Amino acid sequence: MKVLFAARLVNFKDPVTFIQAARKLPSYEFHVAGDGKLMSDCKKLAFGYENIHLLGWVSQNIVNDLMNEADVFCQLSPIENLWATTLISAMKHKKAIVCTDVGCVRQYLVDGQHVLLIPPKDDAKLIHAIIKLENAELRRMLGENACNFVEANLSLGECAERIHELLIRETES
Amino acid sequence: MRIAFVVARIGNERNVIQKLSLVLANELNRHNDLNVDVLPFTKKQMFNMFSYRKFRNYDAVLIANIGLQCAYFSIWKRLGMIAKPFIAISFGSDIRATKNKLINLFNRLSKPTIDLLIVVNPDLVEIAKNRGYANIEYVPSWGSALD
Repeated sequence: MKVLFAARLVNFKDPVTFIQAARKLPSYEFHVAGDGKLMSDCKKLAFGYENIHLLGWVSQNIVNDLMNEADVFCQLSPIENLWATTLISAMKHKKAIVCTDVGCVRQYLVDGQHVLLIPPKDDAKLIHAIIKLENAELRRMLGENACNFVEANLSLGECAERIHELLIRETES
Repeated sequence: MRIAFVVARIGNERNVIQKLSLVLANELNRHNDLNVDVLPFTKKQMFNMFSYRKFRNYDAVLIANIGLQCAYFSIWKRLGMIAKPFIAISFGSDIRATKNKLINLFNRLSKPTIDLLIVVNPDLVEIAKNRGYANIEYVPSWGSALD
């Protein structure tokens, strides 16, 4: 199974918990796409683990390819995950997502319906969630629901329409 | 209605904010009553004494992120040289960075001049309130349009 983390390598995104979990699951492939000031820490943690691939910054096309190939996507901020562009992208790609239960996530995404929610900075719970997602039917169901959520709530047309209304209101007031 | 949309770092492939801004500008231009021009000031163009005059023919100024450009044009607005509504879109990295002295300075400079702050994450409403912004609206991110 392929597990993907795509974000800046900074504390706000917490790549460290992802790599800590990866070290304990050698039979899965873990890909980290992104760069940032935690890169050297990530390299040290991943050193010697052949199942962990630190790719550095990659273009959007490659992120899309990685997204297509991944079975599971992880969004692990200890502060807020909404609406990270990579989270939306993973939802749109119908990926099974493990997401930290922080900020306003629970107001929008339902545990076991759209994503699997775990506490922040908890590699044991992350490992548990990833193993749970060996179930292909669960992955399919989560991915479908997440994609439907994006189509219903996060479309460019609707967001732009709202901004259009606000621009008119503010300019005419 | 003509909107000047100030977007920094156009062409920087790593910058998601400029990509989201360009996508938004295209979508807004589909509305018949709106004409959105993206103004990609470089630092050199921006610090030109008369750069604020570019806004003369617009009804409002839309600004992506409360950063250097927002702070700079806020100074001109405070001086009375720009008499247009300022609408800023915060994508989070700006108003979340409460420990970054430079961003704090940009926030302090621009806050009184921003007539409406649009935030694309729901938690930013509270963060923006705590930072002293008055008129805040949450609009979900349109990141789904980026692929």
